[in-house]
Amino acid sequence: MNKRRVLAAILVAVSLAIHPVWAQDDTGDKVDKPKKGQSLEQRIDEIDQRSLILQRLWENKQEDDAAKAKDGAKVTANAKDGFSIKSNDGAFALRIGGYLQVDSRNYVRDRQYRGADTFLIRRARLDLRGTVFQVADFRLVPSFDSGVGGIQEGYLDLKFLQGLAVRGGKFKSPIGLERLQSSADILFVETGLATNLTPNYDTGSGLWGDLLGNRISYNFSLVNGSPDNTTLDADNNKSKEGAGRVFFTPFGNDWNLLKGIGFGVGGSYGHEDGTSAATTFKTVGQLTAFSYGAAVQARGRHIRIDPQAYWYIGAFGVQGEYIRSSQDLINATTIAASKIVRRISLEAWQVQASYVLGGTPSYKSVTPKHNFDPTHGTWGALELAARWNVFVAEGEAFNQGFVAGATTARRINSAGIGFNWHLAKGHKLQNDYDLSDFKGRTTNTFRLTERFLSTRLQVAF
Amino acid sequence: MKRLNLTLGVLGLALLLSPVAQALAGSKTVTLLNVSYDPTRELYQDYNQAFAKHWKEKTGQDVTVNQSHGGSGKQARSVIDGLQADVVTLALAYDVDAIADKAGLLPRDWQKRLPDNSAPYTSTIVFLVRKGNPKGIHEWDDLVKPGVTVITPNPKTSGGARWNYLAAWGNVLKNGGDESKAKDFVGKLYKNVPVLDSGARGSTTTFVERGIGDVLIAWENEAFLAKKENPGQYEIVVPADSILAEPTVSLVDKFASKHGTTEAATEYLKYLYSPEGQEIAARNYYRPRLKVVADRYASTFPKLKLFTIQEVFGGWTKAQKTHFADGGVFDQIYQPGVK
Repeated sequence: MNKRRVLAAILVAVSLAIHPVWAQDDTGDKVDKPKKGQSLEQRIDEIDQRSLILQRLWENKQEDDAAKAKDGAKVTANAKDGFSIKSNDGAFALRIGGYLQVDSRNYVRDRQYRGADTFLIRRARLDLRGTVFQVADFRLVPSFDSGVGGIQEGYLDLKFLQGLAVRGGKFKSPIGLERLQSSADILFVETGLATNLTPNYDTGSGLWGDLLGNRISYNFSLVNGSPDNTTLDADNNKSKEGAGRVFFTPFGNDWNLLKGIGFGVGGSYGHEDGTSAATTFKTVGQLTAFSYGAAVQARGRHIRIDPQAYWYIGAFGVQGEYIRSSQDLINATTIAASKIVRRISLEAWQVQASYVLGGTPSYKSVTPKHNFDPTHGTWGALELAARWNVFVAEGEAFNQGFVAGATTARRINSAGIGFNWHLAKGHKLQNDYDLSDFKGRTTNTFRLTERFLSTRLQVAF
Repeated sequence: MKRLNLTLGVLGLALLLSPVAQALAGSKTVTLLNVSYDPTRELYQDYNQAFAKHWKEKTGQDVTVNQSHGGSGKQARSVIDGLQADVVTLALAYDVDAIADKAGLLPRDWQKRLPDNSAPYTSTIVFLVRKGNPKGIHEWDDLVKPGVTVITPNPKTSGGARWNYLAAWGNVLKNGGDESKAKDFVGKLYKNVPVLDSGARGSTTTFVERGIGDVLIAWENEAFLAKKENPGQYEIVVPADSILAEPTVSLVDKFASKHGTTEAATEYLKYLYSPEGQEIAARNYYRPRLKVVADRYASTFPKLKLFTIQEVFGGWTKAQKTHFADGGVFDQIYQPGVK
């Protein structure tokens, strides 16, 4: 008797438990009893057939399961991926994310009553990201921020080749290092002074991608041309702006000490004509400290250059950038004055550093080693932060009367410290204290130092 | 600034149009997808080669035909769900009707577009038994004898299985039985079926390669092929009555138009009716429509009384609704795991 027939006998015994149709023959007897007159050879043939049938049923089931799995989808809800649905073939995916930031602002010893102490919902945004037909990614960020609603960000990426995608829609202009961080990932409650000189969201299209194993990232876009620190949904003149950034992380994971180094440069070149140069520059306490006069208009080129770098190693991280924003302006207070175009430059730089206890810092926020869970004696991660940032407006702006007299300082020096408690990735309590000093002010508005105490409770998924 | 705008605009446009440019550059080769039922692999392997030669001679263009095979019902559902077939060559007209009705991918009067109601070849249902016919299978009645194990695919997914089922049912009616006797007979038959594969080729695999069962109810062409590939191991038993099976073909207009392959796909189907197409069908054991080819292969195909689905069941729509829809007769008589 060969091995297959022995196996057949064993499998029949198993089959009696799982395949009821074989449990009884026509007479109602269980089939483990030989039929009357059945020879041993016939009996073995019968058992052999049944083992083959079981095997075939199993093969068919596996084929069916594989076909169903291919057409099916996977739904997940976890800390790493948030809420997501993904088809098994990877062609379609949807990830639902978002974040809520509840802030408090306090202006300490504010004898000039420049700022109102307040609680506010700083940001409340959904972040919907997905893939369709495997070649197109989309992102939609509806915003429910206090007093400001609408679509914060919305774009489509078409991925034609490895390392090349075409983007169209509304997205962050690819220039500033801190600006390009997610608002949920920034080190301090409010961004630094250098970020004031970068545009916020702009609308247009561009090419972007990662090359050489993500060692080089690039983004070149043609956009409407958002003024500094501003979001532009639709343009109000015929000119456009080219914005681009190249960023290198050349050491990847190869060099332990150097692998967290990244450096690059962003910039823009555009032309604006007839639009109001109504950009306001805010302190870290979100008070307007520099603005152009109401009659000041853009008339010509607007050029930005932003070298930038970061280094994250172990528990320590440092990030910095310098930006110079130069724009051709006219002061249309009189016809004669409106014929004189002046190039006014504003510059700013910032450096911020952090040290994390119980976690790992990165450009994309802190990952605690252990999430906050008092029942298991784990408390998340504590991050200590410090920054120094400076804003300078060139003298020409003041000499030629471009600035608004009431709210203008020529130079702002600001230093801050922060204590961030990361309960889990994306969930944190931030406490910052920033001191800002104003030089070359035109009025007494900023006579005294701004002492800004801010707190944020954030949930992000 | 205007020059910069123009330059960047042209660059963006070029990148966006590059797939279009590639498509235009590749117009020397046309690719078709033929979504077919399970047992036609060998037929279309031969036919596609012949058609490619014919198309090249006619137009100078290269054509590649990709094939997809599976149970006819499953294949129809795949096309409805988005599988972009340029043509469908399925086991029965009802499955093509489903594509027209549920997805609107082709017109409802598709069957009139080609001769013989768009059925370029026919077949029938016979029995394949093991050498020596140890269980003495000669007629349909022998399939319900105790101790006989029958292999036939699942009518819910396989077009061939539906032909098998209707052939069994129709045989009872044609021999003086009524609907109740036919239902009883078919019920007993399926009690002798241990494995329901999703398609006809799967059943052939079960019977021939896995060695399961005493008799395979099969497409005639499938039975001939199995016998040819396994000489001396099987015999074909032809019952006195069986059904005329008419597999149908159609252009999938919306996908062919989208792919720019309408002309090639239309010719692909028309060429099935040509002398060469009919010869290839006959060589692969499909009964040709063209008389001159049918006469040449007359001795290959056994003579038997054939009834049509129209005459016994009133057409596919009625048959599908009565027997194979959810809750239909098949669901009533076959419940897995229940004796």
